[in-house]
Amino acid sequence: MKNILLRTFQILSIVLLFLLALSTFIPIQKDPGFLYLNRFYDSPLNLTLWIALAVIMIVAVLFKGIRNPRQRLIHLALALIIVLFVIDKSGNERFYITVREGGMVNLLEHINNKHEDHDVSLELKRFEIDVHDDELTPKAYRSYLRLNDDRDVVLAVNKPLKVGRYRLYQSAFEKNYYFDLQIESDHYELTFGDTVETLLGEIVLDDYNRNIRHFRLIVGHTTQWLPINASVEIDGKECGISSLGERFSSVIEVVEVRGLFWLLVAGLVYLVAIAWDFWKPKKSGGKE
Amino acid sequence: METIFLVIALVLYLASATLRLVLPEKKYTTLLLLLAGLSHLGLLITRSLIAKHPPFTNIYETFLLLPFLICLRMLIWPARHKGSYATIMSFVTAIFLFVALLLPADIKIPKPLMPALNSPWMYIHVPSYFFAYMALIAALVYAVMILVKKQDSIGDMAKRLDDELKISFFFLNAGLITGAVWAYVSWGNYWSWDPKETWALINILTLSFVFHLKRPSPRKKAWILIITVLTVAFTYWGVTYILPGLHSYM
Repeated sequence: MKNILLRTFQILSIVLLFLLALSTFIPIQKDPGFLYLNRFYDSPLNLTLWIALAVIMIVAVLFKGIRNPRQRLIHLALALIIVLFVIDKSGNERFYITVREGGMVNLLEHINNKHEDHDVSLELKRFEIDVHDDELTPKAYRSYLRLNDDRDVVLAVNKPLKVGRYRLYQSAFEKNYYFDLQIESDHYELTFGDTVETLLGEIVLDDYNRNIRHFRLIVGHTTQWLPINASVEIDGKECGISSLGERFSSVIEVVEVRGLFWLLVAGLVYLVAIAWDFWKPKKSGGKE
Repeated sequence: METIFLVIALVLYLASATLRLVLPEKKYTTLLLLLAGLSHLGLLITRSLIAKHPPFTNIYETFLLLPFLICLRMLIWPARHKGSYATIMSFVTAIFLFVALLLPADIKIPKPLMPALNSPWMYIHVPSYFFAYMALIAALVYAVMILVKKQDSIGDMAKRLDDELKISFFFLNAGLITGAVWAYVSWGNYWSWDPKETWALINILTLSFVFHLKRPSPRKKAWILIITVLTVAFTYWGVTYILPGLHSYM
């Protein structure tokens, strides 16, 4: 039994090692390709091999393939890590939200498993960057957020925020020019590439022509040119556009964290068990 | 100043190693090693002050820190570093510093740390890997000695190889787990299948074979260790320069 398990472990590990190593050299493409090699980490084969390794470890522990209690603990912790990893990667949600200075987003709009606890609005009051002495490389950056109109919090790199069963991470930032598009008495804040639903239907702020100092807008299926700081009529509606200047947008990663505490515990148990097994004082004349 | 310390340390390491080779008297070699270590410490302090961060954030700095740890190990644990093994380890230390000296200037320029690296986890994750690499180098020397010597003249080298394998396996795992915790705190994702992460896992899986042999022998373990050192070397240099990913800032 022990020999069969050992041999199976060796074969599975060699296959896994070979495929993992090979997959790192193949660029990621839409088409998964032969054996999913360009996205092997996402492939059913990767999942199957890891699950198989976990099963071998559990079988080895249960059926006395491993007799040493410390090594049993190592293999059980490792099997638990694999199982919790698979559950987390396949079950927990993760997505990005972008919010510009002065803008607001609601978590609930992005979450699949909607729950009223996650009806959380985030308003970016201010975004700040510290730079190194070269005045180019960011040293740290942070978002000053207001949660649900009543709680001011700071979200920074390496300082995540917990909101319900989600955690928010300061992922990245952008700096863009924003413009105020006015149609009759309605105002819309947007940057290039943004789409807004207006009295005239869907409008995309497409481009700016420096020579004629006009903005190009896609209104429905037609192209319209709008001068800066002047009013014109489009389809009988008075329209104007003016600059609001440069503003930061904060890119926030939202991650569901169910079960991760146990993954950390399993990781620590695994490490402690290795140390215990490797450096346990041997009794003189005793046999393991 | 940094280069002066580097050259002094290099010369003293070479002198210590050469003296070990030609003279049976070990008193002066230890003194030379101690002086080399002090100069090396000066080098690391100077580098840290110039770079404004600990010296383990790029390839050049690792070529400075790793030999220092080996030197420290030799000074603290003299009983383990005797005879030809100590001579080889002294030369290994000198070779690391020599490579550091020859590295292109643009690699040596200290670069500011990106925001995610400004974390206390850096001081746990990176040293864990350094301890693992140090043990792997020590194990590699034993492995080569075991392979070139006859079976009956291996002596206690097999036991020492086992000890180094255990240290390196533990710290490779500690590095991976602390790295995952750090990535979780910084990016919200403890595992991204980034090439560096994948290769770090490959290193552990490869080394784990020494503990899963049907009939373990020092020679088999030595071969597995050599393969592991090759995968670790690829993880450190190959992945950094060939495969783009989250760890491409090195």
